[in-house]
Amino acid sequence: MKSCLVVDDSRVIRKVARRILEDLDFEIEEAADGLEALQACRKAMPDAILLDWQMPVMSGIDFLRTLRNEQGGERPVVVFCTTENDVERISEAIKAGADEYIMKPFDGDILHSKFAEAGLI
Amino acid sequence: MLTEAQFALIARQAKRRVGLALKPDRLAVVDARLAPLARREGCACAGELVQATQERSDDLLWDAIVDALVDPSTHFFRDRAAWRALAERAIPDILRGRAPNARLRIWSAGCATGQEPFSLAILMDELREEGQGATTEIVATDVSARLLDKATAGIFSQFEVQRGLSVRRMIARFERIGEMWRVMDRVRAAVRFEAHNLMSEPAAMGPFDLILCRNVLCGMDDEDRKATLERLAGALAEDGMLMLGAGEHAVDVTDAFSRTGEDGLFLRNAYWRRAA
Repeated sequence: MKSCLVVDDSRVIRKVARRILEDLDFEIEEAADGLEALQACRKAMPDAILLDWQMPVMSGIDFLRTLRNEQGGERPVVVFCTTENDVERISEAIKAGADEYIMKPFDGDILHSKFAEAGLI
Repeated sequence: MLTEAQFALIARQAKRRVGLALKPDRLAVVDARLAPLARREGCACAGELVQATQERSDDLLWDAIVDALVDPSTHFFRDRAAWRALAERAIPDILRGRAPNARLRIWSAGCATGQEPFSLAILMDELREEGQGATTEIVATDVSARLLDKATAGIFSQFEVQRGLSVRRMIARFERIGEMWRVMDRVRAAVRFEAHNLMSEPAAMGPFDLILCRNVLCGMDDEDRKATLERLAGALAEDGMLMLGAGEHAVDVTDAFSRTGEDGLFLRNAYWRRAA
């Protein structure tokens, strides 16, 4: 069973994502901001990370840049999941090391499609 | 709810016009599918809509009814295995049999809202960038003017553009316009859209090197499926290939095609000739 860390400051979004990803056979951990996510990764590196951009304490993009410089931090497949939909922002995320990118709002079909594109399914 | 007699009338028209075979257990589905059209036409329900056709001197309302029953579901690079078979088997096989600067002709038959022909254009563009493609002309047809209008515009919602497209493909081939995404001119220019009913002869369009006709034949009865397959074979080059939807077959009702070993991918038999 693959593991996925769901990082979003909205409890509702985390719950929705958890339900969809559990159906896709992922084991879910949750974090409410980038710093919590970093702490979770230092404890146990997940296979996949579903990552919001705008969060208090530490943003998704700052978390991703930090993660990619950590020991083993290149391994998780990172899928952004955010309301940011500017092409410049998307390019910035890819440059920072994101593997896939979901523009909110999303549903099960999109999550499934994007996880497949990222080679997670 | 539609009466059985009204449903039978619709089924007869759907078969005659587009080869769509509606089994009796689809009555409730057809009833629901026609509700929006009924409202637009000022009818209270699908049954009234059928009654209205009797009072019209022209066929336009029947056109609209059948159009509403055509399945519009599609997405970019639908069925990943099929696209792998196209990129790794069908297109290289066809190119091997062609002169180095030959122009490839591909037909997306039943293209709905355009995701399939645009996926083809993107794939051929990518293959060319890797130095193994060819100049390609893509002809995309559908029987539904409603679907073809949307396809021709090449503008997709954020939801549509995230189904089947990787983010890299999306930002390389689409530009954002407000909340919508428009396929870039270079991709758009590779596709020519035309109205065509698969029940009629594709005479002037062929010959093609490759035809994609996916998830269309599954709605037909065996008689129409055989006739349509043979019309498609007639529009293929002698060594042309046909891609059907996953699980769809071309060899059970006609001897125009052979299996390739790839699911849904068939080779036209060079010796095959249509019965006069």
